[in-house]
Amino acid sequence: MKKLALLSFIFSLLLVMSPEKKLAAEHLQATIDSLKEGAVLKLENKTYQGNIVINKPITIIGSKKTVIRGDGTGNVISIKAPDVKLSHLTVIHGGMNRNSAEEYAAIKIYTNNNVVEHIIIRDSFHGIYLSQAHHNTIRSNHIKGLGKGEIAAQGNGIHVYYANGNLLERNTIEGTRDGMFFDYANNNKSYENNISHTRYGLHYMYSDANIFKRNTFTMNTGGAAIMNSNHLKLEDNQFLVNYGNQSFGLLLLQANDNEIANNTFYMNQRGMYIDQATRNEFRHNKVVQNQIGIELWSSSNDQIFTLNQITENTIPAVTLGGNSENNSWSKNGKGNDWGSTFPITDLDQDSIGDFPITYRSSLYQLIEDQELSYLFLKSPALKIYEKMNAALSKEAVMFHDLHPLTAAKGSYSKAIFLIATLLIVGILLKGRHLLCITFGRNGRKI
Amino acid sequence: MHYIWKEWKENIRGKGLWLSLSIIVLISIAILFRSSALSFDKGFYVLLINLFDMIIYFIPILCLFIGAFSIFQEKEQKTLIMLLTKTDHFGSFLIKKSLGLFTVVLVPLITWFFIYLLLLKFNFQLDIKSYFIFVAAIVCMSLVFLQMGAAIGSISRSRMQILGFTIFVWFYFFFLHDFILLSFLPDVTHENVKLFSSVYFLNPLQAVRMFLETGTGVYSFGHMSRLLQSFMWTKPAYFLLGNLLFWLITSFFTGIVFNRKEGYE
Amino acid sequence: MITVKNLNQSFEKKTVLDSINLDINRNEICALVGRNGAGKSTLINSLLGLLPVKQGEILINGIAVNKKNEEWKRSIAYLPEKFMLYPMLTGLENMTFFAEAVAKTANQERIRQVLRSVSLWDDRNEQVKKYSKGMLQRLGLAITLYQDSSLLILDEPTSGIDPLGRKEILDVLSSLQDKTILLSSHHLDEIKQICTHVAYLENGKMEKYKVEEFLQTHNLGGISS
Repeated sequence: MKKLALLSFIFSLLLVMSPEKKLAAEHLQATIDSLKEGAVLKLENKTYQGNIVINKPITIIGSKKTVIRGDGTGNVISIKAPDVKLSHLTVIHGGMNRNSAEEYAAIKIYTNNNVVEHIIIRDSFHGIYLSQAHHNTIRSNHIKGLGKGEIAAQGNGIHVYYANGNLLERNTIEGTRDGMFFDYANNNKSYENNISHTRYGLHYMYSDANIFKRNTFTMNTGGAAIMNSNHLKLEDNQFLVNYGNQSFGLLLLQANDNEIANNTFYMNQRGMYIDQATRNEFRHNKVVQNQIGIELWSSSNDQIFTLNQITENTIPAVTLGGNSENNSWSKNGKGNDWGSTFPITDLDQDSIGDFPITYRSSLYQLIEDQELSYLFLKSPALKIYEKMNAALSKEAVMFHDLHPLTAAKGSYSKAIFLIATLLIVGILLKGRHLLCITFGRNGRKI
Repeated sequence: MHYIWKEWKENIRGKGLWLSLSIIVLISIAILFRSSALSFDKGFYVLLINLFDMIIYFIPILCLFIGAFSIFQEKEQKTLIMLLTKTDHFGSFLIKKSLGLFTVVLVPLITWFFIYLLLLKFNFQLDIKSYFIFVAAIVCMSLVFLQMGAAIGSISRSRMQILGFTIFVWFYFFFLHDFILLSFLPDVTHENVKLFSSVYFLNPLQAVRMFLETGTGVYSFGHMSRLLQSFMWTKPAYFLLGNLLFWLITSFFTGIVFNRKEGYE
Repeated sequence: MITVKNLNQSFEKKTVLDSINLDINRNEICALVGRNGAGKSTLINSLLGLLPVKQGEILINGIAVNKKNEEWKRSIAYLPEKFMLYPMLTGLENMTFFAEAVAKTANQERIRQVLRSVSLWDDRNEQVKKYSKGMLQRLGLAITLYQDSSLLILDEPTSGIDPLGRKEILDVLSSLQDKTILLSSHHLDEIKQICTHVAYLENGKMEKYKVEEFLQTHNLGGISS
């Protein structure tokens, strides 16, 4: 009788405490611990409790609905051995404590030569953290944060700290603090990542000789912020609609000797914002339909702008804080295509204008002195204001392009526009009688 | 209700409304073609902003003309006098007429943008909430300028006066208002920024644009300075609502106070 | 029915109506006659409350015409000069609209009756822009008659209409019973055919006559016969 009562009591306790989760966590960690080096662990379509630490080179492959859920107190997955491969997992609920000594992440990598791919990450402070971890591959992961508004309460999508030679490609990151943050991280490659709704899509601090190509930065506060970093290559990236009050497509701050080529800057508040930067080369970029194409502070020297298409911007380029005669707007006799804003002649048909272009504007003073002036950039009144101040001799030279390029031929869409406009005008002209009926006496013969 | 029905029949059978709508349709289609190269997931927002930037040049002037000529025709046709000598006084006539105008302009407009949404579905990943905000922005802009147009129609005694007033109003909101503010901009400080902000958002074009761009998440106010925080002392939606109420009421009472019952022509 | 006492109206320091007195009694059909610019429209607008009355008094059925109390409007039906109605609507739709302006719902039977009385029932579904001038005028008259007001004020109801069309309108007016009518007119034959009295306006002053008396005593310049 007593034994039966005791058994029942223990059984009830088991039911109430639901120990299956703890068993499952211990089970996964135990499973990992029990694997030999080089083993492949295939996980099932269920939720496994974290946090787990991987101390040996193994491969973990999840199924479509495999979830590893952290306990909210630390890193969900810590990789402390080299040559680990993780793929096809969903990792959630990492530690969010900002007061701890360590910054937590969904996946924190401390070692080299690991591959993390096809991972979905949610609800974690950082997404993937590379801490002094080199030559890792971070590929095709999807990281989602709390949203662009939250800066302090969350970390970055991918955080690279004192980590070199890593490859970050085809990741999708949205709504984190920064998309990818490089802190003293050199020689890393970032290809084809898609970053949106973050503070800075890419944030480089003291990180040199990195390459980022074919990435897309959309609707961030800043597309890419490069600070105190040198010898970077930025090629074929797209900086689109980074359009907040202080937004920019690309920021160069105390960044030197960088190559910025074949990038597209489209519909940003400022396409490029360059401050205290030296010897950067901007080549074959498209800077189109931004409020300010290029904002260049006079603290920057020896920039070279050549073969860029800088068109349809509200203000093509503005120099603030004094003149910037140390910067060049052409190289080897080739300047930039300024579009129809600056009509040029090309009588010798060499695609280079016959005369230099000098752009003068009075707006620099307003933009320098009053941050609220950005609110008027889309207003048609701005052009009139600029012209009026020109008449009052308040202009300064913004840029001087010695060899401007002739405009590229218009696309067929312009032709469609033209045809549509002609159609409407034709209807209006031919349909005068109809107009009289419409707006006149409505057909009544008086 | 019978005003709405009458207005609807008149305008649907007429050509003015269709001409106006066809301009909007043409612009929308043109923007869609131009945006076809944009990415699937984010191109939607770019299209909305570009479309708005184009439409903002047409809708105010179209609504001003539609509102003004609609009221003026009531005077010209002597139907206004016939109504005023029955039970209506001018205020109630103007309310009913305004409601009729709103219905007649907004229903085809909203219908078109619903159809347009279906076209967009083939090209972009849709964000219904953002699209709703876009349509709401267009609706608010239309309401404001229709009511202003009605006021112009009430005041005017000839077509030339309508033309003059309409062009002046359009010019004022497009250029003059911002130009005046730009002139005062260097003098804006923390003490007077709230007043400056209130005047800035009195321009329906700015209020609508801010509402649209912040609502769709395209424009962000991250890391606001103290000055900017004081400038944005309330949400863009409230600025728009205040603007809408202000101009609807002001235009309405201007139309009543300064109305001329007869037209010269 | 209509009582005007010492009415003065001026525009830009020019006196248009100078202490006008006028009484129009029930069932009278009174023609308002005067040269162009004599002040006929001013008087009519004053009667309708469209012009503020600063000096003098106007009573319609004993009720003063002012903006504070609009009871007097129920007694009046007004047809302006050179109106166009809503050209894109049909005759029936125009009637229905104005009927609903008076009461919440239109009385379709009454509309049918009135349209028949002006011989427009067969053309009721045509858009008004296709109506002739005469048809339009009859439709306007129908709208005025729908209300069944005891007082009709008609501003040149046969202006610009061919002789046959005028005859149709005058026949309709002649057939009306228990109506007091004030109509502004330049046509002598019209006055002779249907009016009982003439209110003659000249140099801001008004005199009321019986029709025969008026025709005998006045040489009327500017009026066609």
